[in-house]
Amino acid sequence: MNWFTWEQHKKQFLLLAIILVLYAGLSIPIGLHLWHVYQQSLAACKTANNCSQLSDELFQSGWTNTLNPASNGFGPVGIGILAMPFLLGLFIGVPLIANEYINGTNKLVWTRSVSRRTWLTVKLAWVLLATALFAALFATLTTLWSRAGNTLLMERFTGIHFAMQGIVPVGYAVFAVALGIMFGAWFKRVLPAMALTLVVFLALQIVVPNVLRPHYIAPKSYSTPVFIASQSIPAGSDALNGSWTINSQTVDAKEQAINYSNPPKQCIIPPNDIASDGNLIVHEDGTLAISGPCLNKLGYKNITNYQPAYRYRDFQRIEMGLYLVLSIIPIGATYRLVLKRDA
Amino acid sequence: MNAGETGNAIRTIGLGKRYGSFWALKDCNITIPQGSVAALVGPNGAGKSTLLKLLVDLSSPSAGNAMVLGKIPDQTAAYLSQIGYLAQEIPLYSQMTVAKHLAMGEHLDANWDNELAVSHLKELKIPLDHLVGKLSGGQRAQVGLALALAKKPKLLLLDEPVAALDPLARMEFLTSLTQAVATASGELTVVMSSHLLADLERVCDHLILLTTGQTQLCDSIDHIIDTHRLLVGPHNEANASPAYTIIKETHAANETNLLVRLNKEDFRSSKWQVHETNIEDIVLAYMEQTRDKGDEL
Repeated sequence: MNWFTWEQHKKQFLLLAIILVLYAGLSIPIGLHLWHVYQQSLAACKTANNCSQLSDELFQSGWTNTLNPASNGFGPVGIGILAMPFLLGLFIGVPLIANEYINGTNKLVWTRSVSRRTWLTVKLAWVLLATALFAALFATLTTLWSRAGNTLLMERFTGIHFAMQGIVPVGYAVFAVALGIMFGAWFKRVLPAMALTLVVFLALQIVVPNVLRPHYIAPKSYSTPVFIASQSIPAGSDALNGSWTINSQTVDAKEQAINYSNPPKQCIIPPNDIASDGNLIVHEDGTLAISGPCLNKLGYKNITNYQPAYRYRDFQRIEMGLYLVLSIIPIGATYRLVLKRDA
Repeated sequence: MNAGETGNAIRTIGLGKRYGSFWALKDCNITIPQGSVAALVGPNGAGKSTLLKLLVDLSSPSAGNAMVLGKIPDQTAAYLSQIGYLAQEIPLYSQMTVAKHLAMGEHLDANWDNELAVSHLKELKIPLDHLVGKLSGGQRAQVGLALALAKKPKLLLLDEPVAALDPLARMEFLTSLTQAVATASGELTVVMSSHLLADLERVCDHLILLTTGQTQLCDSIDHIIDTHRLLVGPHNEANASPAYTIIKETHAANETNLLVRLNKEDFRSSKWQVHETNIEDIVLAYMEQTRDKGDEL
């Protein structure tokens, strides 16, 4: 079966190798150049003793557009990287078994002297391994490219930066391909299987970062006076420098969220009372404002939940593990569909 | 294989397959002795393909059971290595060459006889380095047959293999099949479904007739011919008799023709002229009978 699996899928494997070579040709020169410029600027600013302005200078120099693959101006590349697991699921996963049904070749290969279970196991093993290897190399290239950006902008823990580098793309790719294989085997047709693979995987890619990811490890939090949040994080706190801010809200002394439709009466001020420091216009029509210093006196505060930067690697491992474990569902379903159903 | 099964390649008891509420095959009881070449005939939708799929476990039965070579069909390598199967549409990997298909057989089949496959295809001048998608229908059928035969199966199941072929390709295919059966000298059992009764008569010694999913006939062709007669007699006779079962009744100007199955071996009659008939007429009579019954419903 090993030879036959290779024979059937070598064109796809070759195509993946070509994509890797092309992406390496793009990402390695850009990544090395950025890292070089960063090192040079760092050395220069140390001599001039003005490294606090380093990132500003580099931003102004204009090369920030390529600082990481998701920067402005590299939209298509960023989208391509994020779309990678989708494309693998649709074009490697879905046709894998669907095409055997469509062409009737399942009846040819399932009547050789190989059990259907062995046929499926070998096929899944090679295709999923190739997928994992491809995704790992692809993500490594993205990580290398992002190195200067990660160091300078410290945003790899947030949003799409988290999703496109490190090891999570391996989990995404394996799951997407397993999902595509299952829907292909289920519907025995390509288009509906592609549509469902797309919808289910997209839903997961939205739900996981917004609902699950913030809670892999209980978030830490800090509190600041109302309306003047950012300046008051103590220097050296792990809430700075690459942490991921999850959310922030204003609470009263009993830690209840502030009720803006019924704020404390003594803190309501005319909206045009510019003298009062840190006031907040509440109603859109500008009829109501609340005094920040007044709320602070009453014990109100802002609470910000965040994940410190040092948890980045743990989060990468947890999220990759989550997707790999989830892959058991489509893989198990594929076994059921192939072994228990009529050809 | 226990003693009771010896000699039978296939035996099914009450075998049935249902899709939803529709029975594609119902109450199928057949016995096919080892070494025979059996024709599987019946109108479209009679369950011929379904029966063959059940025998190679591409499909699992909803009722009854099948014993094939002393075993219940399953998906294990040990079972599959004994069965050669050629599906109706002759599925092949159109993007692979003929040689790659043979290599597939060599890798996936336990008893693969590569020389047999190569010599078979070379004899027919089928180029091994061509993509299968570029071959003619007849050549594809021959590649399919070669893939099934080189497995060295004990049972060969062919699902309408010649349906789409021109007369020459059909003749070549049947010749290849006959040669394979002769070479195997009684070790190979064949079940071949087809609509082409004349072809089947040339190649087969056994006949299974399925109509609307049920077995109507399953016997050696010689025995079927021995037990069926065409009776010709004058009009307006009382036709029924305990000596035979009427399959088909036709009336001409002043005579009645009955195609009957004899209920006792030695049938003589003063009333009727008794003629031997041929397998094609017998099969057609059964198929018409079932169709007319269907009409009454």
